[in-house]
Amino acid sequence: MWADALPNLLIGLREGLEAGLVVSILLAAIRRSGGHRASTASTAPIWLGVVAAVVLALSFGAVLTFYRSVLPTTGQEALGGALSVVAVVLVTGMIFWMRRTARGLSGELRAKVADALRVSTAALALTAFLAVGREGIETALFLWTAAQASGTTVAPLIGAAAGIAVAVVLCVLLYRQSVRIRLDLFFNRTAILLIIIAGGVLSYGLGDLQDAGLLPGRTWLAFDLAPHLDVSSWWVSIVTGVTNLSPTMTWLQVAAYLGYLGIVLTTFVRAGRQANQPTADTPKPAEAPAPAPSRPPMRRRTVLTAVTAALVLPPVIAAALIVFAPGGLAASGQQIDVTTSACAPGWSAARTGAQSFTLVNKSGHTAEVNLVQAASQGIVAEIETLGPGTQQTMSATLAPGNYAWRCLIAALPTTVSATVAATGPAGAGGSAPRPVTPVSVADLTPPLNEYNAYVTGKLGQLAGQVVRVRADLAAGNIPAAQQDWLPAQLTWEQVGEEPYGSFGDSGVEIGAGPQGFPQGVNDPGFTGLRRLEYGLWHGQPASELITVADRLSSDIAGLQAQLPQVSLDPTDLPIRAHEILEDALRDTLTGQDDLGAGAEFPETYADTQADQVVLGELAALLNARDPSLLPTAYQQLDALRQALLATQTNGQWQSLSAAPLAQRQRVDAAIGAVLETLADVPDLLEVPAH
Amino acid sequence: MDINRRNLLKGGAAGVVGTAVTAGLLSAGARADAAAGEATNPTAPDLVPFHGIHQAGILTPTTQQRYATHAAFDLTVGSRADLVSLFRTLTDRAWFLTAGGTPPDLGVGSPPSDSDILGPEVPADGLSVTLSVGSSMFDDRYGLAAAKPKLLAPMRTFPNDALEPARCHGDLFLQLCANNPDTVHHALRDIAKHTRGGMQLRYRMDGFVSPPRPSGTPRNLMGFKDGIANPSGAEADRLIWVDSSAGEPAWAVGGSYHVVRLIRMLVEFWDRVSIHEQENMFGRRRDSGAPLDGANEFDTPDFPQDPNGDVIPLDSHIRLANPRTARSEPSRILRRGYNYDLGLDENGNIQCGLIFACFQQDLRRQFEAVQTRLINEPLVDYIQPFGGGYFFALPGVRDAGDWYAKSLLT
Repeated sequence: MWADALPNLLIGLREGLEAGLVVSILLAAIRRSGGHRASTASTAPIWLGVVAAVVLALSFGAVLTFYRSVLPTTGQEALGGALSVVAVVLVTGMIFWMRRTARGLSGELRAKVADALRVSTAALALTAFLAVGREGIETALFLWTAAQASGTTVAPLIGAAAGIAVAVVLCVLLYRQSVRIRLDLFFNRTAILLIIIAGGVLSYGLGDLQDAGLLPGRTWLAFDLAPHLDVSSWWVSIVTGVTNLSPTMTWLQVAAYLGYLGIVLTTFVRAGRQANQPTADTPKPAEAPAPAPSRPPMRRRTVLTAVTAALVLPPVIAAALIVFAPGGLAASGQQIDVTTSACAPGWSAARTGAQSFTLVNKSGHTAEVNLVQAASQGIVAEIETLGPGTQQTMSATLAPGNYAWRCLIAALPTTVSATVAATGPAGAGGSAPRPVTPVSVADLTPPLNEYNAYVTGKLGQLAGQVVRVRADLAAGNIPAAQQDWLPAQLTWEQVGEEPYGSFGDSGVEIGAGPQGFPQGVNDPGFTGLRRLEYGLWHGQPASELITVADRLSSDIAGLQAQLPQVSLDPTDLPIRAHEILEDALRDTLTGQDDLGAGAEFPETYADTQADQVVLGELAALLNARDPSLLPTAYQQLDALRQALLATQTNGQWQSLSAAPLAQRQRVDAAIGAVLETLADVPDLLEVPAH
Repeated sequence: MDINRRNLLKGGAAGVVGTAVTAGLLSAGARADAAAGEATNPTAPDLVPFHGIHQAGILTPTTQQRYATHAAFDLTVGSRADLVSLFRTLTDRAWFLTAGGTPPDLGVGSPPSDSDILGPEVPADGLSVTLSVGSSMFDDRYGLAAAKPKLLAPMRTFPNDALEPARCHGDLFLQLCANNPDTVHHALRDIAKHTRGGMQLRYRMDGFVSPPRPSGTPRNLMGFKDGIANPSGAEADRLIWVDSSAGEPAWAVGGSYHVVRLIRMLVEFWDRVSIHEQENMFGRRRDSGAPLDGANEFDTPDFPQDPNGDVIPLDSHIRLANPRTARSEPSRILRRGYNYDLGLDENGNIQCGLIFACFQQDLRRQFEAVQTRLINEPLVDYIQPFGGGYFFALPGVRDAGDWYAKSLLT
């Protein structure tokens, strides 16, 4: 945890120092100039700028937290870069203005200075605002990304707060120090430091602008020390923090840094030398009027109020707009809000054709949102889970007609929006898909009951077939047992059971293969029809297999006894419709299931029969939703059975490996075709989650 | 006045210098950015036009896309009418995929129409779809026997071939090429989904073209530059497209015979061969790609000056493949090969090689003549053709009203 805090402590210290240095120099200047006048009002603009900047930074942090994607990286860089360059210009101006002020002060031109100070109230406030605002936004950004990266917010915040506190203490100490020294000396000493910092800020800002793509040369590096330095070490943090130089700099950054330092330092030093020699155009004290004291206090308060408003209100208003009206940012779609009490409250107009909506969940709960066609009550588009406080884009294609939004939140009443007519040309943006009426568990219960009755019948048949296999084994007649095994296996296939047990353990014991058993086919836990197949086709003695057959009979009896209770969940029945044949394609027609009988084609044939039964039970529900699906599926199932029968030679099934490639391809193509059709069944018969 | 003039001059000079330095820094930076951007961006175009009198993926785009999948299919449609609707579907998919766009919205009653491998907007990404047909399509199933291109037949077995039936021939052959591997994967999956039931994948090979190392023609996995002497421009047009003069059926004009050979390279064995022997087998320098009698990649070998093969051996690959005589000139082919890498063989050797693909007007005069000259070239010890087939690349789909093989099937 404290490893997360440490970098942020350094960040807080660094950003705090950067901002604090500028603020304390400004404060010192004001204090010094106003010190003999008993008036302290002149520091207000600086604090105003600081407060405005803190508000800006907090607003910025809030915006980032609420909408992480609001400012793209390039936007953050462009803003940071532009702020940096503006700050450098102002700080440089301040340095020279202070030098003139200091010179004037040493010449005891108090009135003129006071005037200058008042005139530049806005400039002072702006400088403080920019200095603190820039660092504040940086800190907010750093903190936010650090919190995102570490997944916790407490440690980074504590670290940053500690860093800022240390920075403030340091600045106060510096400040105390500065008020004791003479003003001109103070300026001479601190201005150099300030110029060096400003040079770093300029270079840093230009680098940001390059990263944002606003200036060229991002890839034209002067040096890259990053691989050779531990950027997270404390001394690198302090050096980069104080100078604002980074271990990787482009030529533009280096040139700007050196150029700035060269020009500004030279000019500053030269100006200092000139200041020590009286020149002809030095203003005479007597020529200066003293308008400052004559200004009415009311006027000053008005100016302050105006500046306050100008500085503090925009970021607050902007942040409020961004946080509370996110729709303005999602330019790509119409915004649909979900709240605890209303569904799409602002929805009042719709157009036909393909379009996208931005769904914003303000309810604080997970919601499901449906766009419903009023006439059919069918769903046109949906988002099944919309997390609290999140937004998602949903695309939909609307035909002319009336539509409403339905919001479903667990434990809350379902809310429905106003019904709105979609207007516009029919068929704009592609033909609209058919709306789908949701299915309820009650709708699926009769089909499931039918299916259970069917399975009961099949299990009775299976029990009899296993009895025959056992009789063959008791007679020691393996060939007869092999012949009688196939009908039993096919009856089980016709049940349409999942290989991994939609009927629980009993189903697994009857039908599953050796996959998943540590010792495979030799595992003592491997039982059932596949175990019999393995034994019958691998020369195992009848006596050993009798045990397997007995166990199988008792498992079948057990399943018969439990049946209605252990059967499918009603919502699984629509999924079985395509899964039965997907299992056939995946496990049977690849030869994976075969343990010697080579019965892949008849087993697949039996699977088509199981599928036909399931589809028949779902027919009413399917026909109501897509009348063309079942005729197509039945035709394709028939084609699949024809392709399977075509693999027979002289009316006898062959094994998969014996079939010529062309016959296998026809089977694979036919099963592929019917699976593409059946893929719609679970979507058409889906029971809403809420 | 004097001081002001000097200041003016000084200020002016400083301004000029400052402006020059700034402009220099900015323009040098911009140039560096552009250079850095170029190194990462592919040079192949993003959109390869689908419609035309010839199919794309043969002569266009001129810079071969970096990735390809080659897939052979067998037809499983039952009737000629189903074949027509299959070719119409193939046309629709190829047009959509090569143009890019938003996949249709199927609503809540169906799984999504697209796999989203390329994101919600399908980019064109330089995709070309080239559809060819094999001679087996012209058997008795669809009543097309009379319309078979004159020279189309099952691929011959050449003396050094070790053909695996499962990776030979096919009723249809698709060559999908694009700037990125996910794009060709997406295209194959999309086409297979939309044609499910009508055609069945038979075999498939993914390939890649290496970037120029360091420049010029890309290298194959034997380290040699491959494809240096490919015909281009009007010459290529003359050598590749089937025209009406050769007694081919009218529907075939504008198409091209398409030969695919899957050739394993025994790279471990090759790497144990001395550089001298390697270069003699190819007839080119390995580093530069120059013919053994030349200095640069694109120098023309001067075989008449070297009648006994003292410099470029008579049995070297480039000399057998293209003897550069007046008689051999009409046998030139357009090669459009891709390297493949399939992992390992059962001995733990790297299973890789070349998906050799070439296009020509006349199978016998061109590919078979070249391949006959190459029989028993020294290189055969290091390569092993194991699959492929002869196909006929259909004429282009001319416009929105046209579809693949329309003039064959209507």
